[in-house]
Amino acid sequence: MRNIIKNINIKADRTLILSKLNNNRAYVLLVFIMILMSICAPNFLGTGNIVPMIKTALLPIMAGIGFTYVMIGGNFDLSIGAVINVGAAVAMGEFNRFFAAFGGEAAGTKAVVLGWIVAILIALAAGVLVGLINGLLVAKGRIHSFIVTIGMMTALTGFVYTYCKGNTISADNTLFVNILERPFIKVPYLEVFTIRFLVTVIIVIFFEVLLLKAKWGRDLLMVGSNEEAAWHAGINTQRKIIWTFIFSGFTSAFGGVMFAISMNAAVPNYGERGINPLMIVLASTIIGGTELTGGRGSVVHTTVAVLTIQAIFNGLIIMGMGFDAQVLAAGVLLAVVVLYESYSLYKQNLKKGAKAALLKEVPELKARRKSAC
Amino acid sequence: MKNLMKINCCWRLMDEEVFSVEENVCYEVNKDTRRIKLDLFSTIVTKFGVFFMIAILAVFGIIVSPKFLSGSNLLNILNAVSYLGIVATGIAFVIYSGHYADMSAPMTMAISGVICVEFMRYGLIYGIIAAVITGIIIGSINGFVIGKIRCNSVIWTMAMNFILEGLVRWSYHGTQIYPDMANEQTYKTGFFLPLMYKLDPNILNIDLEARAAAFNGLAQTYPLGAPLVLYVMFAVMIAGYIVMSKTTFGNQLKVVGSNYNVAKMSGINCTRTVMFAFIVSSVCAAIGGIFMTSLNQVGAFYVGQGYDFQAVTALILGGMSLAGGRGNMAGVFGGVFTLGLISNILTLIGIGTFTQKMITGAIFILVVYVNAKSLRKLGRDYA
Repeated sequence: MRNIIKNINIKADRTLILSKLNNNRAYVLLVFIMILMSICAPNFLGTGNIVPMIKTALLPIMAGIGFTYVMIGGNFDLSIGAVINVGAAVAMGEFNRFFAAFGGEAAGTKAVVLGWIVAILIALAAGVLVGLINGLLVAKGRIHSFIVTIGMMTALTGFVYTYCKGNTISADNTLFVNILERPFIKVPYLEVFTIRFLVTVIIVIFFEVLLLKAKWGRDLLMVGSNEEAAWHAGINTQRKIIWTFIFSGFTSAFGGVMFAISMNAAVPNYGERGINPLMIVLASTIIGGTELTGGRGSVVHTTVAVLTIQAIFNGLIIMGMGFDAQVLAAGVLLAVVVLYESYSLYKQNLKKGAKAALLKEVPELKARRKSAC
Repeated sequence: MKNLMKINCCWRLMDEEVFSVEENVCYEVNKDTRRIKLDLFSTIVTKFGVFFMIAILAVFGIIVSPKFLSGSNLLNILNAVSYLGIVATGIAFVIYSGHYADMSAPMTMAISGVICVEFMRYGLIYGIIAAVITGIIIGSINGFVIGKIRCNSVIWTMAMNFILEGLVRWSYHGTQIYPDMANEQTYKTGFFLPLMYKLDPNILNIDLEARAAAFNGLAQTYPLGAPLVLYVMFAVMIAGYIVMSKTTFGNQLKVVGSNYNVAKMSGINCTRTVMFAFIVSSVCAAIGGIFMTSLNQVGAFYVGQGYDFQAVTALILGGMSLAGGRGNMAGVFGGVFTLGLISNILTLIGIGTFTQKMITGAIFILVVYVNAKSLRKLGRDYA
């Protein structure tokens, strides 16, 4: 009897460890990739690689926050790539307009500061507006989020092209352009600490706390896992879903704004011919353990997964595989994770309703049949 | 035991009594005479669907420009959307089976076009066969993963799209392949070109010009005054119509799309049905890819870009339901034609391509909203 209990305990321990590993697979993968890459690629852990790697990851991290929220609510937001472009283009274009309106070069620093504040506010408002429309159509109009965001993506792509007139927009005044990317201290590895980095970290922490520690976030998790139960429990489910879309629009636009300011350029077709930010965000959200049907997920895990993907990209570049191999690697990674996720679900579903005592007999029966043969 | 028997008897008697009472009641109450008030607009929208939209657009077009109704203009519209029509017919099967969308269509188009260009060296027909086989392989991988393991179709096909994109880009190092190029450099990159060169170095001396001309001519032949693609589109659509509504497979697909569990319980082989739907989708995308590559006269990874979303747009406009099991081939044609009409009318007014995109997106959301709302008003859809 004791032996049996012991065996069961060991088995339970094993499954517990495995499930814990699976729940924190973003960290596990990051460590694994870091070790693998530092062996394969020379100088991978040097400051010359780590700092740019984190800097490039900031845009998908920002977009990933909103995407995770929307996915926890049980929906998709395919329009984030377009919203990033909208945020970038609107911030740049409006700055140029307001800079001229506030007096141009003659007015000096005051015009620049005021111009940037107004431009960034307008760009963020645009992102929030897009999210609000998406959310209203999904929650109140009851259209599938997939359709709504596809339509929104098409419309916004057209909008950005007409807004930019097909060109790259740069700011007329470059006084504050590099301020987001300027490191506080010029020490190796600590060069990461820029304003853009800190803002991103603060937003990630804010949304993580909102999701996992606040009542609002717990309600959202409930809406994602079972909308009807949440409704019966007195949660305004529609409003929750609208808010997830607003957050998505806000964070994507914010990411786009910061990206454009630090690059001093807004292109209408960012990510169209290269690696789409949507692709990185989608892959990292799933790798980070957010459930496809909603109800489970974490912003920090998505962030770590973005860093993992970025590490793979940079490692491949150092190994000299080129840009084309990155696309392949990201695709394979996404496919493997999706396949693993759905295969474990498939295995679970096979066992559903089956009796544990009967399942135990299966190997015995098989052995008996073999011996009979 | 005796008591039990008694109780049983009692129940039976009571049952009979209840039944008789119920019969009497049924007899007395006449038919429900309250008329269901039907919203006229909703009825029109659900009954005629996309053709209502086409009528509005046609009236609008006639007002806007006298050129609109001319034969050449209509032919232009059809020619422009015929590539989309071929791809959309395939994806219609996927949406019909309740699996949202086949996002791997663009790269299936690109990769089959590239492989067609590679195998065209042996003759055009070999190229087409190789491309179609590529489509079948991609479709069966998609179908197996989604039908057997029940992966989320959108995400899996997206992942598949990225893998295929990576494959094409990686094997070509970001370059393109031209049908009429046959120097030694060409045979160093690609999927099968190095293998071909290894097997038979004489391939360098093949007279490629005629074959390249035949391949490039695919999109530019005009039998009976209309482009070949148009005939192919109609052929694919008619075949799709027959398969979807006249065969056992089509009926099974409808049940699978309407309710997966019911289909499974009633003994339909769901895995096979879903797999077949994805194979049809990929083969259609491959055929579209061949023509698209022939039109561009170059095989590259960006050949079919944007066709996934455009096809979904056309299908939803045409009355297909993302929930599955609703829609028909006439609607598919209507949806594709509507997209062509919108872009044609906007061009006639003098609006640029990018503003057109904006307006198309807005119209799409509006139409879907109206459609969903009218379905719900008539009580046909509880979503």
